[in-house]
Amino acid sequence: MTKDNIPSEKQSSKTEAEFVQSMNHSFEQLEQSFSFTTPDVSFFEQKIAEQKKQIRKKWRQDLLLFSTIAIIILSLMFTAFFQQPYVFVLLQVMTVISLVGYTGYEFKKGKGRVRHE
Amino acid sequence: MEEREWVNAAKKGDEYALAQLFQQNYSFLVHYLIKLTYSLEQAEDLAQETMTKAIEHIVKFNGKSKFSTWLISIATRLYIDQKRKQKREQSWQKQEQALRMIKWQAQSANEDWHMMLESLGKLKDDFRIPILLKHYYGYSYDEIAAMLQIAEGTVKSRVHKGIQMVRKELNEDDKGQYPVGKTVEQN
Repeated sequence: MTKDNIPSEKQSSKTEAEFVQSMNHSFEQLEQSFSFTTPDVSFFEQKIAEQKKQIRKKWRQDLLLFSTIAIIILSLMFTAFFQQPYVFVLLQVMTVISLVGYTGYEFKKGKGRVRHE
Repeated sequence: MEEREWVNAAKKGDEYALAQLFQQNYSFLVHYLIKLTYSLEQAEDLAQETMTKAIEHIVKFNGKSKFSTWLISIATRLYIDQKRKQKREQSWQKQEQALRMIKWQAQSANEDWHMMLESLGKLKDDFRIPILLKHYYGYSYDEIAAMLQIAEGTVKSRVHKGIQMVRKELNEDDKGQYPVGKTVEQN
């Protein structure tokens, strides 16, 4: 390649600018090829009210589910503690091992994700 | 009333203030999503989902960026998640269908801007989204990095590499060497 054939930095940035301009023109044309109307404020207000109602309902359901599970677990723990203490100790040990294992797994997974990025 | 005041009121639970913010930014959001999906129907569906997420998380919005920026960050993540959940083939077919429609519209008007969109559409979203945010919307690299939750250097390299790929494909198309419909980085 001769010296004259090598594009200068200025030329290259010019063609890049032209390319970006042409790309933006295409996006503008795309925007214009679709028409839609923006709903009025009352539509959004209604949507927000409905969504908040849903959120409150879901929160109540989650709270109920959490309370039920908590009561079942506590009942089992107390029963085990008073009726069969060795089962209680075994459950405690298994819980600690699972927690440590899960934390280690998550930590390893997080490190892997950072390396990939 | 300024945007910051609407945001503060919305964070305190004022539904009218949040509705105002949505209405002011709806057109911006749908236009952005049209550029991602190439389809008005999909764009409007994603805009609805974005608003649903925004209603849930408005209290967490710190107000450092513009409300529109926050909305398009949510929309982008939803779009990426949705594409991941859809079967790859299915999502590719949808995009192909949308592109065919755009091509037809442009050809009817005797314009050739669809060529650029077609090449951009063949890029992976990992490249296409940063290019759109950087060059069309003018966001800085660090803003895009925060929106996409990736490193700033990754954004820079994706924008640069993505543009190179599109330019290469457009040049090759001009020479008639690159078959239409084949992807550069889609595999």
